Amino acid sequence: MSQYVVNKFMRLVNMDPAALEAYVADPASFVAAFEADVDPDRQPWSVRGGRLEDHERRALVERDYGALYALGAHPYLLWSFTEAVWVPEITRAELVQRFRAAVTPFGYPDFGT
Amino acid sequence: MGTLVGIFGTTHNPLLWRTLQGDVADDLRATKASFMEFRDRVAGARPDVILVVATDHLTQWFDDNMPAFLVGRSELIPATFPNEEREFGIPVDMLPGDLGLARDILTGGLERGVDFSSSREFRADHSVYLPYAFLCPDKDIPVVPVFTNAIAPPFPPARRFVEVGRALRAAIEASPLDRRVVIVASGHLATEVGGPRQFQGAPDPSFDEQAVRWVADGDVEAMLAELTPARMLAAGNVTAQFLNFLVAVGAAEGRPAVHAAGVRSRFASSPFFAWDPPEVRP
Repeated sequence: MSQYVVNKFMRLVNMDPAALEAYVADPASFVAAFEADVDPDRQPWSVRGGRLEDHERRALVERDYGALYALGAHPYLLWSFTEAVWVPEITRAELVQRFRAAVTPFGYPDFGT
Repeated sequence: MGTLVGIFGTTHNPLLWRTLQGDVADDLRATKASFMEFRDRVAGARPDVILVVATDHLTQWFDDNMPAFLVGRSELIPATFPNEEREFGIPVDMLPGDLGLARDILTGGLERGVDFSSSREFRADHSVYLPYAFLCPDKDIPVVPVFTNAIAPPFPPARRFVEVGRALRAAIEASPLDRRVVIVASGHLATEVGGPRQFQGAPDPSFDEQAVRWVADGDVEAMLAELTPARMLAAGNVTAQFLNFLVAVGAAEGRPAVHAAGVRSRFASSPFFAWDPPEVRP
C-alpha cells in the first residue's frame, strides 16, 4: 500500500497546471515519468522514495477515481484531482453523479497514511 | 500588553466564494446575512490583528512534513493556489501579516507547552482567505495564521485544540506589543468532500444540532468526550475541522458562546459562533 505516493501524485497533478496538462494528454507516460522521479533506486539521494503498486499504477493511468477511493486516497485531494482531470471531458454535474456511484460501494476506507 | 477583543468561529466552505457574491440565491441569504453580521461584530471589536485558526487542505502542508500546529510568521502572506482559483474562483491575493505578534505567539506557545511548528515562508489557502476576506473585506488588518492538522489523519486529540486555544490567549496577553487581537476559528460543521455524501447538503444534521448546542452551552466536557475520530468521520469525512472551534473554546476559557448557529443552505450547514473574550486577568 503506497497511499502516500498516490496522494503525492494527485497533489502534483492538482496543483501544477503544466503537470495537469501533461497527465491528461498522456496518463501512462506521465505516470511512468513520475515513478522514475520518486523511485528510491533510481534516485538514491532522494527522500521522495516510494513505489506504486500495480493496482495503484493502473488506477492512476486510467484516472479511475473509484479504485483510488477504495485504496484509501485522501478524499478531499481525490475529488479536487478528479474534477481537474475529467472536466470538461465530461460535465461537472455528470462527474458528480458518476463519482458518487463509484465510491459509495466502498463506504469509508481508512485514508490515514 | 496584547488584548483579546473578540473570538469568532465560522465556515471556510470554498463553494461560498462564488455563491455569496452579489445577489444571492434564496437558500444562501441567511448565510450571507450571518457573514455581514459577523463583519460588523469584527469591525466593532476594532482589532489591530486577526488571528485565523485554519486547516490547510494539503496545499501548503502535506504528509512529507505535516505540522500538528503551526504559526505562520510573515509580513506578507500570499493566497491562494492555482487549483483553488480553478476550482473555486478564489483569486490569487496578498494579505498583510504581523511578524512581531506572530513571533510572540510562537514564543508564548512554546513557553506554555505547545510545541508549535513555525514557518516564515508559506501561502494561505481558502481556509484562511475566505473567512478573512468575508469578515475584513478591505483586507487591511494584518493576519496571523495558526494552522492545525485536522485534515490528514491522525489528528491531535480534541483536548489538544482546547489547550492550544488557552495558550494562544495567554500568549496574546503576555505579548509586550499593544495589539488588539480578534481570533477567528475557521472550520466546519458536518461536511463531506470526496465521499458518498458530498454535494448533498448537510451530511449529518443531528451532529450539527448537537455541536451547536455544545458551543452555545460551553459544554467542553461533552465536546471532549464526543469528538472522537470515529464520531467525526461518521458525520462526514472532513468534519474533523470542527476541532478548530475548540481552539476558540479554549481561548474563551470554555465559556458559553454569545451566538451559536448552524445556518442551513444547499451546502453543509455554516457555523457562526461568537464568544465574549474573558476578562483580562490581573
